[in-house]
Amino acid sequence: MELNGMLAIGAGLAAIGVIGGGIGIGQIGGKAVEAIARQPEAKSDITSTMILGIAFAEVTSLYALIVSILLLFVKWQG
Amino acid sequence: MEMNPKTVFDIEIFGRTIDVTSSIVTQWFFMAVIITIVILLTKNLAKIPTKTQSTLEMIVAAIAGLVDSNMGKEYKRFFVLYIGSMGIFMFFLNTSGLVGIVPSTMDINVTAAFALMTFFLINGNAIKQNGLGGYVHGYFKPFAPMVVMNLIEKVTIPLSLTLRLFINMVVGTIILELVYEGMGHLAFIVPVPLHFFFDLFVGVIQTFVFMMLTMVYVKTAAAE
Repeated sequence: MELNGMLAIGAGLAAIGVIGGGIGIGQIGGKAVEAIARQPEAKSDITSTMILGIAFAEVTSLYALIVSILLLFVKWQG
Repeated sequence: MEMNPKTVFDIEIFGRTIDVTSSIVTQWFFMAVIITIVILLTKNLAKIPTKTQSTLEMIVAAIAGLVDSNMGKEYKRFFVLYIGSMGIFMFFLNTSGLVGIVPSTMDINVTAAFALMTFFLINGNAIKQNGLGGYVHGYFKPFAPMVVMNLIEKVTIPLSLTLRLFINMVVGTIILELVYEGMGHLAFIVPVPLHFFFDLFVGVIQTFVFMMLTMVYVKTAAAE
């Protein structure tokens, strides 16, 4: 029973790492909006590059998330 | 919540049991659906296109334009077919939560298979473009000790592709399951926007990202 509580705390702590991905995605989105505002005709190119950049920024936070999901759903007792 | 897919039936070959899981059966189902749709829609193609035919042509032209703008003319012959069929198949698998079938891309084995296909494509294409000598030489660039970093990078690419798709689908399924469990029999209207976001939006975005990343990795690996 105590182990489950520790697993929950650990999962919560591991999920803090998601902050980094959020900051990265926010910066990418903001810069993309700036670029589109400056050059509206390049919108489709900027959007596809932005999605690619978001995919790279997102995967780092997903590594933190996978630790907390593994703790909660694979290691959970009972 | 059960993370592992259920075993539907198993086959015995040479004394070993091979479990056929529900994610494989789902994939067979969607393969059959896609084949049926394609055969039905392309049965009578005409010079002067009808409504359905022009919609189909728009989809094919969109995929061809995507490959063309990301990879260039010389890759068009094989990669429009590959990227297009993989994208359509993955789209069906990702959004199958909408019709009540558990998305089979939330099984890590399925996403690992997709990522392995991309991995072989990247390295096979690099060997084909540069020759085996040029391919091996590429590991020792820009200087010889970098071979460790280059090898790690080669392994990280399929790993990150696997985990990205897997985690995105798992998170959606977990949250929807929590909502359905918490609301019990009162679960109506509230899950609809969640289904829209986690199944449709995330599924489409992840399909697009997987297609884009495959193209970009193949292109950059061949250029090195």
